[in-house]
Amino acid sequence: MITSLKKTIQRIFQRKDIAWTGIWFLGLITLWIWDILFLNKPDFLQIQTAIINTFLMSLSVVILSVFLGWIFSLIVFFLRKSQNHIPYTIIVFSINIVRSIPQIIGILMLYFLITFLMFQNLINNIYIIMLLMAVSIAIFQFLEIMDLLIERIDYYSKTDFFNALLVCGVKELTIINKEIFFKSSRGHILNKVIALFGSTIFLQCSIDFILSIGLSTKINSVNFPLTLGNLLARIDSKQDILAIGHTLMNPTYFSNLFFEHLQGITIAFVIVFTLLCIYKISNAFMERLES
Amino acid sequence: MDEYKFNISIYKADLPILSIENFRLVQGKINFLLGESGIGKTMISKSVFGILDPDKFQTKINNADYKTYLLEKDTIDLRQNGFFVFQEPSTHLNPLLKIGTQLKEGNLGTGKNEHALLKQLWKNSDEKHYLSLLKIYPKPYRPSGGEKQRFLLVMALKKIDRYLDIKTKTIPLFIFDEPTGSLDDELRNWFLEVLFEKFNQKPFTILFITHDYSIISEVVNKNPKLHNFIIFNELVRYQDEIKQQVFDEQNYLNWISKSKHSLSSQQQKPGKCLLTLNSEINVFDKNITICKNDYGNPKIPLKIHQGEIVYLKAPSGMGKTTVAKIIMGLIHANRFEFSFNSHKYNHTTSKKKWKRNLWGKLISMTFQHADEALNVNSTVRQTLMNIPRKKRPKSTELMQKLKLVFDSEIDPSILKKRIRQLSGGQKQRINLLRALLLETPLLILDEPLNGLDFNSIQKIINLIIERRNTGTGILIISHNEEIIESIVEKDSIYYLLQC
Repeated sequence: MITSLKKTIQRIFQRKDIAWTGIWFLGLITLWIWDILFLNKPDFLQIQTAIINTFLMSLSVVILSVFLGWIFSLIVFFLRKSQNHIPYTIIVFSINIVRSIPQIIGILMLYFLITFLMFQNLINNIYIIMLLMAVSIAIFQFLEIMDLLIERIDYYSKTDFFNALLVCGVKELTIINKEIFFKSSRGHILNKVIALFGSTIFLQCSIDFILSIGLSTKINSVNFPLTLGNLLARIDSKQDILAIGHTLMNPTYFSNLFFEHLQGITIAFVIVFTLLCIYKISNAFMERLES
Repeated sequence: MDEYKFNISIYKADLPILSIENFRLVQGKINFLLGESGIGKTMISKSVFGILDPDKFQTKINNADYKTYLLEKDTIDLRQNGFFVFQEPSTHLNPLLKIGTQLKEGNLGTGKNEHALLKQLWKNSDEKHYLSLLKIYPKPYRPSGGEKQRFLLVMALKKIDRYLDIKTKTIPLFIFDEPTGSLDDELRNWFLEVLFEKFNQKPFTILFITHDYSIISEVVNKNPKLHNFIIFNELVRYQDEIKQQVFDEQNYLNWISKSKHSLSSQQQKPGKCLLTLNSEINVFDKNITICKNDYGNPKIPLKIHQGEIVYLKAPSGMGKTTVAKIIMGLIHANRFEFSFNSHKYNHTTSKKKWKRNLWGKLISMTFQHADEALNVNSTVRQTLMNIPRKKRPKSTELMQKLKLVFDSEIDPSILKKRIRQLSGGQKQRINLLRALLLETPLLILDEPLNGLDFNSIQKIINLIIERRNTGTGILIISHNEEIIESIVEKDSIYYLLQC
């Protein structure tokens, strides 16, 4: 019994990606229990909502990005192959315009649009707002998936494997979707998806932070969905973060951080810890894939 | 004569790669090692010669750790006195050194016989041509694969000359790993002639790895004096184990003569013409011509009839595969024309026409490198099931088909195996079976016998003949001249020349 448990633990630690996923969940659960015990209920509920909203939106961004990336990779591949120059140039030009805009600026511009719609009372359902926010981020994130998928098609279409299936009468779309994407690129796509999830959390927090500082006098963090970014921008959280700086000069204050400054510390910890874990998971997964 | 005996096990990242017990090599003899590709011939020879990376693989030889084996005096002597010709010439040559310099590297010495050896292996070429190659780097000037291979053989022969010149009791080991893979039969035979001539002067140990079974006829028929010095061994797979067994060369010779005999006795009248390919093709700014003999005259169109096997012959690199791909619409040629069932196809025809009319419907093709032609991430079942057929085959039917190319006791678990888990020979058989399952009226087989063992060659040849007898037209591209010529009538052999 003990030996088999030992072996299971050893096996998990040999697969570093799984080990890091476990560490991530364990870290979040520990933090959650700690907050239940020591954080006041209104703040605890706010943090819980912010974490759920942030992760849900990141998940939506990833799903939308994969979908857009897949559709556009096929469009680009078939237009290029058909040598239909005008539509191909239009598509590539449009994609390159999106590519040329810095992500944060592009997303902020689309957030302005959401703010405008909210201002006009055209949207007020929180879930629709969250979905629109996810779409805004996905528009600037899907290019990474698209580039990866085009690279995979290009790589395989130069090999005999692609031609061998073609001359067997298998449709090109089937070869690309089933043989290249599903059977031969799952690992690569999953690795990209993990990395994308991490970078989306980072982007979201940065933008929501900027947004909360001041996008409009009427539309602000109070009527925008609660996320880790805008919760971090609140005065309480800022004070909690400043307390970390204070601890550097007064080390005896350190223990107070875990009881009196939990809101800011929790948010900062969730963001940094999640990004670290996702970075580790993604790298370890790629290492395992290559070996 | 003494015998080297090895028990070898090789692991990579704790996963078993290869294990063989009692691998034997007889000293002072010519040891031919046959067997399907991917079975482990190269891995075994590299480990014996002491050139396997000890950090990459966990290897044990005769129960000793590999690092210990590498430090043994006998192993050091093996490497110092012998030579290893790698199967892929590009990996053997240093891209940063001129070929001429590489021929004189280390204990290859200045080599007084170098010029004579070059002359022997470039019999048909102008002296200026091969001498000019000595002054260039292997890349980016890129001599052809056959030329690079000949340079490696010259290196090995120089090392043999060195052994012949000195007085020593040590018998060196020379390993030739597929040394004639990029050479046509004529060049291969010249090399064998030179090698055996040196062996006759003073015997040394040769391990000659090949899956070209047609070498047997050349070796046995032309060198009766060496009969007692030649040993044919074969690596075979019994379930998951690899074993070395003696290969009876008479089995092969009898089979070839029987095939030739049955060819002359079964003069079948071919049916209607399926495909006619015009004799002149221009592709990549080169003119390729189809001829009735290898002198380039007369130029004739290539015709494939129902129930006929056509053999397209040419030295390596001449464009045989290119012609097959042009017929399949995979390469766009500047000028060509063929008709299939009275429909014309040429350089102006849209690719959609191939897609609509030919692919998988009227013509199917197998590609020469099974590794590249199959999706290594698919299972055997998916590979054979996912091709468009009128009726989706059941597992039992697939097993029956697999038994045609594998042993009859094949385990049904093979259907669940991923292609990447199969050996080179097994992949090649799946590659061929996929095209055969399509049952198209015309079949193009590019190097169908690549990497197969003798048992599988016989099965594949039988299948090809069966398909021909059902009225299928078959175009074969292969360097296994002896075997293919034994099943193809003389009138159905075409030559490819570049102008």
